[in-house]
Amino acid sequence: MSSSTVATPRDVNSAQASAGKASPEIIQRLIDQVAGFNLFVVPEGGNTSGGNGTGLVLSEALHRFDVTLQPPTSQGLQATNIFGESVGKVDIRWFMVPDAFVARPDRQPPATQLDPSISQRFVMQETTFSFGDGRDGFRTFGTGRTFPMLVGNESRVVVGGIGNLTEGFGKFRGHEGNYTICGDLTPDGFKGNVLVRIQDNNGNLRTQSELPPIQPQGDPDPQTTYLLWTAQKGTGSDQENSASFGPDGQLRGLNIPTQLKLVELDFAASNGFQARDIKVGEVIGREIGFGRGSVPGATPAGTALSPFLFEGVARYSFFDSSGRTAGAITTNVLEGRRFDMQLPDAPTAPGLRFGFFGPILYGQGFFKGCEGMFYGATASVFNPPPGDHIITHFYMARINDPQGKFRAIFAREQGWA
Amino acid sequence: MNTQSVSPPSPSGQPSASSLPDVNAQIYPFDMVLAMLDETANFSMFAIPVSGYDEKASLTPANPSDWFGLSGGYGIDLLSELHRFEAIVDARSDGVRASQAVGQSTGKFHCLCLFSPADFKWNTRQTPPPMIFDPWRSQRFVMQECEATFGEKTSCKCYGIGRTFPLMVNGRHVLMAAAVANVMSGTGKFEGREGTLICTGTITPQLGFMGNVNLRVRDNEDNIVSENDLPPIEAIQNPDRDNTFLELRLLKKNKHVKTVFGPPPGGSLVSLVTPSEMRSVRYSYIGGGRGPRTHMEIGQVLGPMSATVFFDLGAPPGTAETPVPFTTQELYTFTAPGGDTVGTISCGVVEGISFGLKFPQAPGQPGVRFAGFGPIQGGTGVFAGAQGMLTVNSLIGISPHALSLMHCLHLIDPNHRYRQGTGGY
Repeated sequence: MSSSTVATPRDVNSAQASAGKASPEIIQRLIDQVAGFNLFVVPEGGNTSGGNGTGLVLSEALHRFDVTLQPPTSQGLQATNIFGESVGKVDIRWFMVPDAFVARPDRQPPATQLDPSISQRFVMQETTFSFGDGRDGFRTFGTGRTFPMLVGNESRVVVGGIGNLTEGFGKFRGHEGNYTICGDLTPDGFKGNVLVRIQDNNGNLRTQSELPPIQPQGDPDPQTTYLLWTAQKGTGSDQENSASFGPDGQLRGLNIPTQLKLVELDFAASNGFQARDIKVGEVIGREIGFGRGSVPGATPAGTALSPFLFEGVARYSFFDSSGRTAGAITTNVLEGRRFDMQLPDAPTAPGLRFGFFGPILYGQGFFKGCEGMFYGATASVFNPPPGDHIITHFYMARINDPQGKFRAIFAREQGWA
Repeated sequence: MNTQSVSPPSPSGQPSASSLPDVNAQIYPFDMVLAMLDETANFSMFAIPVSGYDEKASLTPANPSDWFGLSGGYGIDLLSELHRFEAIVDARSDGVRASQAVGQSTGKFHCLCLFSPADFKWNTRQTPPPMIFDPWRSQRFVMQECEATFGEKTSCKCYGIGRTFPLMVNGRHVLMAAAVANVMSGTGKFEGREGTLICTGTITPQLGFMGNVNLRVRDNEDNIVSENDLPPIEAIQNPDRDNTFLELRLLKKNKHVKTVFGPPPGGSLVSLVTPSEMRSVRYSYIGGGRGPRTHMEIGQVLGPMSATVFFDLGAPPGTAETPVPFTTQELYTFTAPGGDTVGTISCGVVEGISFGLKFPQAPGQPGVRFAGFGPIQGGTGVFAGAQGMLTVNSLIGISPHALSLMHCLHLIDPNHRYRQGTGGY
C-alpha cells in the first residue's frame, strides 16, 4: 500500500535535485533510521469509564510483543507471536464519533453511543504511552474505526486506528512518528497490537547492544495470529510505479509494486527504552497495489492537524522456496493518514510517513478462506514516476485464526519449531 | 412509472385530486390487459459463484497491469453459474415455509459491479467515479458488462444499479447485495426483447455472488412461454444453508379491486395504494438447445399484500437511458387456509426503476415495466425479527390497473425457520 498516490507532496524539481545529492541507498538508510516496534495492550481490569458506552477512558498495560514470520512454503505461512513482559502503560481517552465528525485534538466529540453491530468511527483523543518507570514516552492523537466480526464463535468489535505522535517526553522528546492499532474493544478496554514507527534521526532510541530476551507470558488472544513483514522497492522493471488512468483519460491513482521481505523488530524497556535497528531479511513475495487520495482535489500536504487521506487496494503474494506463489491476500485500505516528514540529512527530499488499515478481503492458496485485518506503518521518499521511490513498509496481517493454522510454535530452548 | 395519460401537476408542483388520472378506468378490458401482461417469460434462477474465478477476476481485464482492477478494490468482478430455482411457499397456522430447490445449471451470470457515490445516477454510458469497497457500509454500485447466458445462443446484456447491505447474523458479519437491471440487448430468443432482471443474495467470502436472480422478458410472440409443463427440476445439493427465498406471484384478486391515490408525499410525487393477493408459484424454465422455455404454475392463496408506490406522475415514461425511479412501502400478510394471520412482513423498495410499456395488440393501452429492491424492515408473528430483502419484478397496466407481479422475499434463515425440510432436497 502506498499513499504516494496522485499528488506530488512537494515541488518535483527540488525533490529531484535533492535526490541527486543523496542516492537512493542513502535515502533508504535515512528513512530506516527508525525505532520500529510492536506493543501488545491488555486491559488490567481496572476502572473503565467513558460515559455509558460512548468511549474508553482508562489505563492499560503495555507488553513487549514479538512477531516473527517464517519463510513461506508451499504448505503455508506461519509466524511466532510472543506476548512478552510488561514494559509500561498506556492512558487512553477514546470516544465514538459520528461518521462525519472532523476530529481534532482541540475538539471534544459529541457523545456517541457504541453500537457493536455496526462499523463506527472513533477518535483517540489522547493516548499516552509510558515506558519503564514512566520517564520515556509519547502523547498522541488519532482516529479509527470499529469492525464487528466473528472470530471463532466469538463476536468481537475489532478496531483499527492510526495515531500520530504529538509530543514526546524523555527519550522520545523531539521525535516524530506514528502508529497503527489493531485489536478488540472489550468490556474491559482495548486488547490488541500497536505497531509503532518513530523516526530516530539522531539514534537515541536505538542501541547496537543485545536486548534482554523477551519474557514470554500467557497468550492473551490465542484465536488470532499476527503476521509481520516489510516491503521495499526492488530493482527491475517489475518494480516500477505506473500511472492508472480512468476511462475518461484522467489520472485516477498510482500502481505501486514492492518486494515483500522478512523483518525483525525488537525493543525492551527494562533499562529505559531501547530499540534495535530494524533487520530486513530475504524476499518472500510481491505486492501489487493501487493507491489514490481519498478526497478528490485535496491539498497534497499532510500535517499533524490535517493529514492527507488515502485509500487503495493491494494484493500480497507469497512465494514458496521454488519462487511460485503459494498464497495471497487481497486487502483494502479504508483509512490511510499521511504526514509530511523532513529528513535532516536530506532536507529537500519529499519524505512521508503514514499509517493505514482495512480488511483482508479474501485469500488465495494457503490463505483461502482467511479473514482478518491488514494494517501498517510506513516511511518513504516519493518522486512521481519515473523518479525514485524509496520506501519501507511495516505490514501486519491480523488473521482470525481459531485453528492456529498461521501460528508457529515458539520453542525457547530449541529455536524455531 | 408514468401513465402516459395524466394531466400536468398543479402550479404548486403538487398534483391536485382533480388532476389525478383514473387508473381504474378500462381503455381495454381488464382481463385482456392482464393476459397481455402475462405474455412474459419468467426465469427464476439461483446464482452460485464459479469456483476459482477469484483468481481471474478483474475490473480491468484489458489492462491487467493496472491494479485499480484488483477485484474487491473499487468493484467486484462476479461470475456465477445460473441454476434453475424453485421456492414454493406454503402458509399454515404453524408457519410459513418454502420448499426450496436449486436445480441443474442452465447458464452463466457475469457482471462488473463498480462501487459508486451514493448520488450517482443511472447512466449507461458513464463509468462511475471510483469508490472503494467497504464491506461494513451500505454502498451503491453500478452493474456494467452484466450478461446472463443460456447455452451458446441465447443471452441478454443488462445495465443496472444495486446496493450492498451489511448485516449482523448471529454475531457474524454478512454482506447482502441486491440489484436491478434493464435488458439492453439480447441474442437468440432474447433478441429485440424488453426485460428486467433483479437479484438478491450474499457476497461470499471469495467475493462471489450467491442468491436469487429473477429475469422477466416480454414474449409477445409466445415463443418462450410454454403452456405445457416443463421437465421437473433436477435438484442439486443445497448450496446455501443460510437463506430462504419466498417466491410470490401477486395480482389483483379480481377486476373490481380498485387502486386509489394515497396522501401525496410531496413535490411532484404521488402515492398509489395498490391492494393485491399473494399466491405461491412454481416458475419453471429450461435452457435447451432450441432456446429457453418457461412455464408458470400458480398455487395457493397466501394472503393480501398492500403496496403504496411513490413516483413522479409528471415524469415522461421511463426509457433504457432514463428510467423513472420509484419507491414503495409494502405490507405482506400471510394467512392460514382458515384466514387467520400467521405473520406479516414490512418492507419497501428503496431502489426502483420503471420503464414505459406498450402492447402491440392494444395500441393506446399504457403500461409500466418496473423492478426494484429494498430491505425487510420488520415482521410480526412467525416473521418477528425477520431480516432480509424484498425484490419486485413487475408489469402493470394503467387504466385498467392490472398487475402481474413477481416478488421475492429473501429471508436470512440460518435456523431454517422458513424452510421446508432441513435443507437437503
